Amino acid sequence: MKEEVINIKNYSFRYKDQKEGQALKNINLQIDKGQFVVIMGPSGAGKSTLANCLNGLIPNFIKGKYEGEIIVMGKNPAQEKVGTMAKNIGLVFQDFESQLFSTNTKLEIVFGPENFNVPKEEMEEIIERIVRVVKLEGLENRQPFTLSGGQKQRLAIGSVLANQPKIVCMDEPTTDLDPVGKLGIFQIAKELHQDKDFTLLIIEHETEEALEADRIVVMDNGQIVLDGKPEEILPQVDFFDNLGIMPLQVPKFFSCLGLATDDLPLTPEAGLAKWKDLNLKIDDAKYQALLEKDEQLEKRYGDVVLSVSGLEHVYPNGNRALKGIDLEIREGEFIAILGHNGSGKTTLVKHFNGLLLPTGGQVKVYGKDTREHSIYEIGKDISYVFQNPDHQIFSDTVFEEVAFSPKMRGFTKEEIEKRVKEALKAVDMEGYEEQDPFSLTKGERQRIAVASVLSAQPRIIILDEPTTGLDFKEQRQMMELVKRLNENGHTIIMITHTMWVVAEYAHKVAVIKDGEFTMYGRTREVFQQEDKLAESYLKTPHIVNLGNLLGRTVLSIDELLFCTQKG
Amino acid sequence: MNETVFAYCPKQSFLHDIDPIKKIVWLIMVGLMSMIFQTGLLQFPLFVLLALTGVLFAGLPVKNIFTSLKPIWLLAFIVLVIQSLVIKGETLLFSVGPIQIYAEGLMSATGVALRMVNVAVGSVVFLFTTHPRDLAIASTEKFKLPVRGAQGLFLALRFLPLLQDEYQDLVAAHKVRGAGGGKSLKDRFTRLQRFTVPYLFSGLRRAQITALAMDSKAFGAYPTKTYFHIVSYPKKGWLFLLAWALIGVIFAYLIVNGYIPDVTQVRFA
Repeated sequence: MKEEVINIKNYSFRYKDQKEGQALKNINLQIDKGQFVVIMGPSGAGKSTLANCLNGLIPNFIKGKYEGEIIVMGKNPAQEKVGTMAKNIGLVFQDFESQLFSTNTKLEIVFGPENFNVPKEEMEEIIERIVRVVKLEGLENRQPFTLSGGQKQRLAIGSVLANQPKIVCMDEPTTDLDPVGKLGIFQIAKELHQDKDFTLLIIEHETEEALEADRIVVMDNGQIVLDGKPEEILPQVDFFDNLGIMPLQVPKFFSCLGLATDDLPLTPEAGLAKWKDLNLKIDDAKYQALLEKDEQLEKRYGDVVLSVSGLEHVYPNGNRALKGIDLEIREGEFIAILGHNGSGKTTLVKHFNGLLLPTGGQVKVYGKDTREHSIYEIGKDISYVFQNPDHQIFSDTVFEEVAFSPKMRGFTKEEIEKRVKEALKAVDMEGYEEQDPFSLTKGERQRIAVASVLSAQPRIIILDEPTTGLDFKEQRQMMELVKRLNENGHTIIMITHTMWVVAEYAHKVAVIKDGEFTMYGRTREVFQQEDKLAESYLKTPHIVNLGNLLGRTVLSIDELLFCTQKG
Repeated sequence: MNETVFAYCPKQSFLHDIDPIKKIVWLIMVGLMSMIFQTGLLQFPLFVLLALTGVLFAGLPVKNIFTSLKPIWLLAFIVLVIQSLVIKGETLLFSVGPIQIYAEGLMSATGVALRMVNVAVGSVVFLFTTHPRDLAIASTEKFKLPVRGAQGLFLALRFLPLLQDEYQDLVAAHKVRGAGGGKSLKDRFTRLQRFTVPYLFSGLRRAQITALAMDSKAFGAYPTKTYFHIVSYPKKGWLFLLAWALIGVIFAYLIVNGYIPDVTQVRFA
């Protein structure tokens, strides 16, 4: 007997300050007890709005006009205090920094129980149980500040579970996490799903992760546009393409070969079986052509522009973050640096422009030792786009923002205007000069951050996770921009966790773990070694998996299509 | 990792065990004694007693009394010099040219200068031994301060290190774009001006999410709440207060009966 825990009927919502349209339009959704539902959709589809309606944050805390009705565990959240809903449904937010507010792990966990007047002895038991569930044993007395991103997000989940809600809804819980952190969250989700009375809703934009769900709900423009089992929903690759969500790569590949939607395999393993069924073969001459193209690319590189030798860095607190790194980057290269948070990636790239100085070994940029030249001087050749655009943008207008660097360097008014124009053109943001950067979308702000660095005309650009927090369409736009910059002669050094981005765009890959390179080479060579990547918690994209199963390392759907020979 | 919040230092000591409320009372007593007794002849013993309390009962390193109070000592020194110069009295100690130093002037000046130092030393001892979290909880329990107010203090503690980190990121992001990390007052001011926008922007966004997360966990949904972290109010706190009250009484006795001359009449040059 199925039991409905969430029932949404003809629900619409419009934010108080929303100028036009509705954030949610006529939503109808019933969710049964014990289901694991993944909600997907591009930025602005209304996913978070829906989540906030479930526990009454909307309309009790975030105001607006609503129609229709939501019933969660027999209660109407709009008519309950948000607090009283906490026993029925818990909400985990994307931003793991802001949702933790206590001074240590234990206090964070008991924050909810404290509000429910739970006696102290019982709280001891709750802490013991929760740290086990979210795997934070031994970290009970740590300040949230000192935890890693993944640990913080697990603590956020734990603090929600402490109230023992029957439903938990996580709003993009893994978006800002590194691969290890992501894995930890999905493991917990899996374990929670074992409990047949527990209902789990996850808002997610990566299709690969949605494979595990019982049900997928796709939203666009405030409406539910698709709802069904993963095996029904995920093969609809054209639909996902049009929506701006990355479709699964394996069905996408076979759909390009002309297979019908109901015939598409979803996983690399199923893809291999289908490949054999269809009697497909790899055209070796064409695969050789791909390898040659890699070599051609390398031949075009110029002189060494950045050389790192025996680089070591010991922080004042004694933490040995880098343990002897050697690296040479040549003009025109596009290298991706991979590794989990705390592996030393950021410490490494901060040495490239003198933000950090080596405690051992040396770094030379265009022959200049970073220890002997100022950041100002080295910054002429190499620039750095920080991870979060909101931590670097500060001007009232886009023009001022992009003009900052050339102004600081004392160029004439005409030169500054020229440079701003060029930089905005490069990032496809012409005509935005007078806009307030903070009124733009995150994807646009990220592009402004790139423009504000481009206006200094650096020859090397470092990008720290340029695609984090962007949806697929925005990620694609961002990476096409970076690719263009590279083709125009800029050397690109990119830190990222997004593996399909690395596969399709980077020429070379360096994997760093505990302050040392564990892998380094051409992207194709590195991605061939799936097992070794897995040691650093890195997973190759499905299309690479399929290629490797076939004995050839291809980096994109296009590459595999190029090499495929129909039997 | 160390738990570093403000000047608090997690340690085992007599004063660390005592609850924040009694320590506040003690701090008020120290303040009163610094204000009431004007002569250096009492302020100096008071200083010695405070320093001993800090070192022996709070485990405060001796150097902290001097290093972490550098500006206060400097200010006290300036006050000492000026007061000694301008206050006249009966007993001329010595004179150099037009400069005359009187015993009464010196005594009063030492009193004023040490008074500042003593209040500061008392505060350092208090901050060194009191976790702000305990202070917040004790305030809600004993002073009936609203729970929301106390929670505000927790939030400050939680987010301060994060804000520091973000500030450093901001500075770095500007340095790489050619802005100098100048240390002059003017440079600092321009930087501050420039950073207000992104700081406010991310701060407001964060505040919103924090508020949502707190409300989602039933914050303030019920009139009462329990506390997991319990502040204990040990009896030895009373003993400590009693001892200091006794010191105050002795000081007052010495003054009232004229064993120690007070500086009441101050004559300016």
